[in-house]
Order: sequence, then structure tokens, then C-alpha cells
Amino acid sequence: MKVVTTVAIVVAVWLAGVWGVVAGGYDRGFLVPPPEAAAESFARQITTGRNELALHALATSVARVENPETLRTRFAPLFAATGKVNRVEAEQLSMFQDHARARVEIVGDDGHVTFELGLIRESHLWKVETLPAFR
Amino acid sequence: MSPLHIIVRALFAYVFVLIFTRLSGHRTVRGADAPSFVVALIIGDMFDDLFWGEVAASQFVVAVGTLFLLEIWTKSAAAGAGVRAWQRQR
Repeated sequence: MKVVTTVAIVVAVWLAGVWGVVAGGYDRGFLVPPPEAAAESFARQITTGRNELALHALATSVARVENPETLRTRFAPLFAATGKVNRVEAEQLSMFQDHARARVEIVGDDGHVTFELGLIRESHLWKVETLPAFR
Repeated sequence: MSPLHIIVRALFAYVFVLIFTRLSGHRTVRGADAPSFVVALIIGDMFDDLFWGEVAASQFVVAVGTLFLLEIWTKSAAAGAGVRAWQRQR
């Protein structure tokens, strides 16, 4: 049982170390997903219809007013333009303190759509703060 | 994503798993059994999620640490109960 306790202690120490680096070292992309990864993850969840999961990627202010159905409605024109989605990519446009912007490109059988997402750092993680408006 | 980010995450994961591999007491894979192989596969699948920044390092630590903890705990319990981890040759 001694080794089990040792492993548990090592995990706790590593977690404390990660927390120290992320919180104390103001880490915004080394040990936490960078803005473009957060944006890409959100876009993948939207394109695969996992809107409930996508809600977890939203900032608190946006998550209060959005639900899976509003997300589905908001991004419906996107699927009309792209058809079956083949590729999702995101790149970081800017980052200043706790705010960042990322460009997401979705490529499908019928075309491709590009939109920008605004992100904010909440609890040391990047969350989607502004959503695009499709017509 | 810059190469520096990937290097830092790869180093982080390497050192973390190296420590746990040492703690597990396995120096080779020769004595590994099927559950150890399955755990190794699952842990191996988690690396790229960290490398490409898809999960936070804390999530990686919790997931890998839990698997190592369960692996070591079951092996210790089996050894304590006198259960063999290998199959007798016929």
C-alpha cells in the first residue's frame, strides 16, 4: 500500500505544480489549451452536433443565454453552406491579457465557411465569449 | 501552435510518465499481463491530446494518475492476496 500512497502523493504534487504554473505563472497556452485549440474544439462540437458539450466551451455570460437549441439554430446556415463537413481548423488572430480572437474555417463538400470567435480566459481556461451571426 | 508549446508539453508528459513508470516497478515489458497492456494503450492514446493542446495538463495528470493508481493498486492487492498475475504453462 506504500507505493499506492506514494503515487497518490505524486499526483497531488503534480496537480499543485500545474496549478502553480497556470495560476501563478499566468500561463495562457502551455499547460492549458491555447485560444485556437479552444475555438477549434468548440467548432468541432458544433459541426458534430454535440451542442450540449459545446455549451461547456462557452463563457459564463454567453452560456446563460444560450442552450443547445439556440446553438443549433444559430449554426444551421453554416451547414447549409458547407454541406457535409470534412475539415475544421482554427488559428489565433490576437491575444491581449485575458482576451483573444480566433478564426475558424470549416470546409465541407459544398463549400467552406470562415468565422471569428472571441475568447475570454475564465478560471484559467479559454472560453468562447462572442459567437458569429450567420444569415 | 508554436513548436515551443509542443516541446514544453512533450517534456511535461515524458517526465510525468517516466516518474510513474519508475514507481510502478516495471523495468521491462516482459512481465506485463493483459490488463497492463490495456492500461498502456489507454495512456498512450492520451499523449497526443496533451501535445496538441486539446486538454489541459491538469486533466492529463488526473487521467494518467488515476490509471496508474488503479494499476498499481490492483497489482499490489493481487500480490498481497497471493494471486498470480500470469497463467500457468501447460
